[in-house]
Amino acid sequence: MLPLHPDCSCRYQPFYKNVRENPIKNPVKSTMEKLSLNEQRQIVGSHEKLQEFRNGADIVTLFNRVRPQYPVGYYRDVLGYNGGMEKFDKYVLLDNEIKAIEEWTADSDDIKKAMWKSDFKSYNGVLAKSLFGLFDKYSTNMLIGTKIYRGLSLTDDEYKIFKYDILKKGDVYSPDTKAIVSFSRDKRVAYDFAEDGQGSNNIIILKTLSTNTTIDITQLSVLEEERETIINSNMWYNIVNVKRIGKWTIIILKKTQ
Amino acid sequence: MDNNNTEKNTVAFDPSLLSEDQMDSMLKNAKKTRKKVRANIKNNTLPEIPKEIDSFLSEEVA
Repeated sequence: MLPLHPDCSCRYQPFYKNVRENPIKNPVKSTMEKLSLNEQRQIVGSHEKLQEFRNGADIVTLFNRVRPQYPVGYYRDVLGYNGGMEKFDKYVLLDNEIKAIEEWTADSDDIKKAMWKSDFKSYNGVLAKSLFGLFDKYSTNMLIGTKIYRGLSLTDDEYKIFKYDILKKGDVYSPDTKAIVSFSRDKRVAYDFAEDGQGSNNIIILKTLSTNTTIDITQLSVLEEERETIINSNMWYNIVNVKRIGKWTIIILKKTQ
Repeated sequence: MDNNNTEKNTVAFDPSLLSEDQMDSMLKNAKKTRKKVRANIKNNTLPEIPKEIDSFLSEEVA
């Protein structure tokens, strides 16, 4: 944990309670609005500074002017990224990594094919390599344990080739042994990917919890509302439950240790 | 309906099991699906998840 004060042994301790599934657009403003006028004034130091904050001044700058001996900073500036609450793109990612994520979210097919064929020399292969590099270089940018979902629709042949017809609770499963796999933090998006898919009957939803190798790429996505997160290739999970309802197969996964 | 076989399987989406044509077909289908889903997101017309499926999805992973 980070030290709270420069000359004592206080430590920040993360405290998570009722973690929201949907991010707050402006967490500082939202938090301040929940406080009384007097509490808001105490935080920024004076009525004048509160007015500055309301006029758009950065609260950290105001805070540090009041208590210069104990400066605070944004989590992202200290650790490079911020636990999924704000953008982490411009703070840590290289241009080629940003480009790779943007192209993946625009149209992942060619990049996925390069991954499937282990082709890392073509244009798409180079993008694929940059994406794989994210998992080596960065840890997760979201709260570990966040629910993520994936919907897919397969033809009868595909369903059998990949043994979805026989998988059951207790089996060990990998969503893709060669390519990065997209999930969504929004289960309705995953459901629609399955429902609107081109497969005939066999529609699948995977649900699991994010781990330290799950990266939320929402902020760089061409469509933020898709709430896309990616997991590395060849990740293995225990199947903790399977339910088959008509054409649907719903699989609950838990990362293997 | 659920499989009662107690033997533990290793199940994976392994693209090396696919022919080039099957790969292309899957990717083409994925592209079509993505287009539809994105249109639904933009138009705020994502379908509701049926209760039976949603209740199963709401179970804790633990």
